[in-house]
Amino acid sequence: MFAHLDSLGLCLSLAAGLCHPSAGAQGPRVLVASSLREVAQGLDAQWQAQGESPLEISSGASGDLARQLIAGVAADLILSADIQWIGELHSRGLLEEDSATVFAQGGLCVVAPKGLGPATLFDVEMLSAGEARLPLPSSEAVPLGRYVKAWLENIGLWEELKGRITVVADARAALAAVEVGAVPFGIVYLADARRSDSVEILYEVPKDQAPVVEAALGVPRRSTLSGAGARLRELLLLPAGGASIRAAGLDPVQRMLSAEEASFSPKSSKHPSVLGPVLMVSAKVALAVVLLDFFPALLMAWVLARRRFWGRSVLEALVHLPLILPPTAVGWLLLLMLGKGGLLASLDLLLTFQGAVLAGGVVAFPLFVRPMRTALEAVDPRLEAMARSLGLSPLRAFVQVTLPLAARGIGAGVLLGMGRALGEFGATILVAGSLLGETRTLSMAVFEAYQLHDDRGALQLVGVCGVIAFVIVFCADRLGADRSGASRLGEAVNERTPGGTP
Amino acid sequence: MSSWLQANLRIQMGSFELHLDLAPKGRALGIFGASGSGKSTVLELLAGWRRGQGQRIELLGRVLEDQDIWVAPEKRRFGFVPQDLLLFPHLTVEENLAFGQGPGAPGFELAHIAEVLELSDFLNRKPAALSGGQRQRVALGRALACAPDVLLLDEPLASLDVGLRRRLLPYLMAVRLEFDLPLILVSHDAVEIEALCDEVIVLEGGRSSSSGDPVQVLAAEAAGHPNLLTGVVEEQTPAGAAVRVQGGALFYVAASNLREGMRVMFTLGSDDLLLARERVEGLSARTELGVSVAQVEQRGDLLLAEVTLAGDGAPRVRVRVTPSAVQELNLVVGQELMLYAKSTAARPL
Repeated sequence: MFAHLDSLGLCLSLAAGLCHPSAGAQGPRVLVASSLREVAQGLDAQWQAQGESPLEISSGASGDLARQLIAGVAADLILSADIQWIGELHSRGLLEEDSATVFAQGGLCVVAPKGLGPATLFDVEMLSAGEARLPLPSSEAVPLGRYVKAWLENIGLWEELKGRITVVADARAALAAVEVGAVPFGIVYLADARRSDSVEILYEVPKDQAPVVEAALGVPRRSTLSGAGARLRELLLLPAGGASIRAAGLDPVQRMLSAEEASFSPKSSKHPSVLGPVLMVSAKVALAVVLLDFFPALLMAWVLARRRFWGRSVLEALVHLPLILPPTAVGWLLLLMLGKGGLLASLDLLLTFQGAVLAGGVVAFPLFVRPMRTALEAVDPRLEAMARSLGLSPLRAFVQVTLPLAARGIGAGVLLGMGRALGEFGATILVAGSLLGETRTLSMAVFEAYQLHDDRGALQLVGVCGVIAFVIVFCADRLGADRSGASRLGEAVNERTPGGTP
Repeated sequence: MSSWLQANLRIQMGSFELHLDLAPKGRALGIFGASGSGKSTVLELLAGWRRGQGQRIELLGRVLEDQDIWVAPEKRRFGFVPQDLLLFPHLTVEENLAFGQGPGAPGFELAHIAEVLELSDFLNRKPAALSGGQRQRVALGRALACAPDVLLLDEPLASLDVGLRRRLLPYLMAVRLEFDLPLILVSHDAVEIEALCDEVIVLEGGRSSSSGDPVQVLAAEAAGHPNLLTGVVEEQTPAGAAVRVQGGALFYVAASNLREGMRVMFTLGSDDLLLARERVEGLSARTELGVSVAQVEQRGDLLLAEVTLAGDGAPRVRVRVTPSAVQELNLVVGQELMLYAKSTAARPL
């Protein structure tokens, strides 16, 4: 399995190399954890001050970045929020000798949306009061999750709180959930909280209660620019580099990775099967999306198929927007509307099952509309006119003539929309998070399995997804094929003579 | 007495303008015209499928359209048979027929309609499994089933081949007799209109160019078309039915289902008739009549000899001839000749 991944990564990086415009002018490549972006930007400024080309900064979750290196991607420096992954890279021999170094420390804090903090002085007991959810990245795969879990275990709140955790993608997503007011509290990196304008820091976790939050760097052996990695490392560890670390809200330190830390392997974690509740949630979300979308989609399909009005093509483009827009963009717009001060904030849907349904419903809407619209367009509107001349109201004519004739296409629309809702990820993870038994759908579970490096679990989930997807596409296609057969039949029955006008 | 329909139809569609006033005197109005003359538009305006501009429509004393009035199609009570039939493909014949009949809208009895139109044998079939003529009858039956005030028939026979057309015409005539509804028939076939209507309007470019009695108005139009005659069946012979027309002339008509004493309408193809200077022995033609030339008419490439049959009030018959035949037969007005016709040249309607 890994051999495949490695060669795939190699191909990708080779392709990237080939496509690179003017490779000579490009500076060294730095892989940086999302929470350390600002450090990399400070480093970039220092680097350019030496007359060098700008750094190529690629950011992501620490685990993802490490896996890119394992897959064979070339880079000159990796800044990771997870010293365990630097240890893993080191033990695989992917880093230069003596390059793995802890370079920064930080802390954790409890935050609330700005202006919405508790009226009284904050007390950690407040975290367990009420029913509010706690947004947190995976406590097994993502460093912030691990740190927070260790702290909460230490102060005896973990058992109480773990059932209310909504899994979000990474540290920044946990902060964002608080920023938009989806939850009353969040536990995030102190550095992140300090840079945010939308949260207030209620409580800084004392250093003796939680493991030290540490960031580590390493110089990969497979470099893009010989010697650049070592120079960048030096630069960051100099006092001047310390300034950019401080500017990012962290404290500079300098400590070589210990032998014990360097022998850690993150893929050893084991996970119970979650297929049952995940399938249940997926089915419930898909069904609820059908209920939510069916009538609006049918109405929209009818309007687009039968009505001619000014602005129709604009409406058509708007309806199809979610098909083209990145789901994460849709999710962000929904966050904006559902979050604090948003148009729909009063619905209180963030990080809930209903939120997952809404996100799925918005993203799947065009897939409902398209086949329905095609099916309605294939029904001769004169058949409806005939039904009316026989005494039926416009609504009854639609129900008794147009609907049955378009039934197959409408069915195909329902299947495709439902399938899209089942597979929805980008908007849902932003709006609803991933809470086992409530919002963790198949696609969330696949992402989790990937984050946890749980290949067996991922394979199982992907297999299930594959079967479902195949059945849906197969059925929808059959419906579509038969429908076009039916309309040919209709044409044969009612031979139109050319020339509808006079 | 005012007419059952008074309509001032007005519509502008691109460069085409329809401007037509209707006030039929008889029960059946024919609208005759070439394609593009606007005849289908007339029916769609009446049925409310199109909106005209500044129209007025009054049907049986009920105003359907006026300045501030627009009655929806479902309340107009027209039985419409459009040219493309518009049968509901997902429903059986029976369901199509019953479509407009609801608890609140009883109509004619379906069994009666099915019987008159001979549809009883395939009530459970879908339209796709019917022949063209059967579909036509289903569409007609469906329009009748909800007991409309008026029938609107748009080229009811146009999409059918000639043989089928002649077989369906009797159904239309039966509908006229059985259900006694006023009707408007749109057609470009003079025979259909002469057979079914007591009044005709000729439509050209959206306006009426002439109107009146179909036989007179359409005489010019019917030149290229068969002669239309009526008579009474005298006896059924192996060679066909012998039909006596006014004036006493006897025609043999190829049909086995006619009974003695029946009144029938039949056509005589002007191309299927022979003229001879004197009696000819040993011809296979069954009909043999003495006639005199009334006139010889040239219409474009077409030469037509119009001959009068013997007897009081006897009809005239048009025979197509060639220029050389005119010379050889010495076709001048008053010339006595023999007319021959095979029984298959005479087709009952």
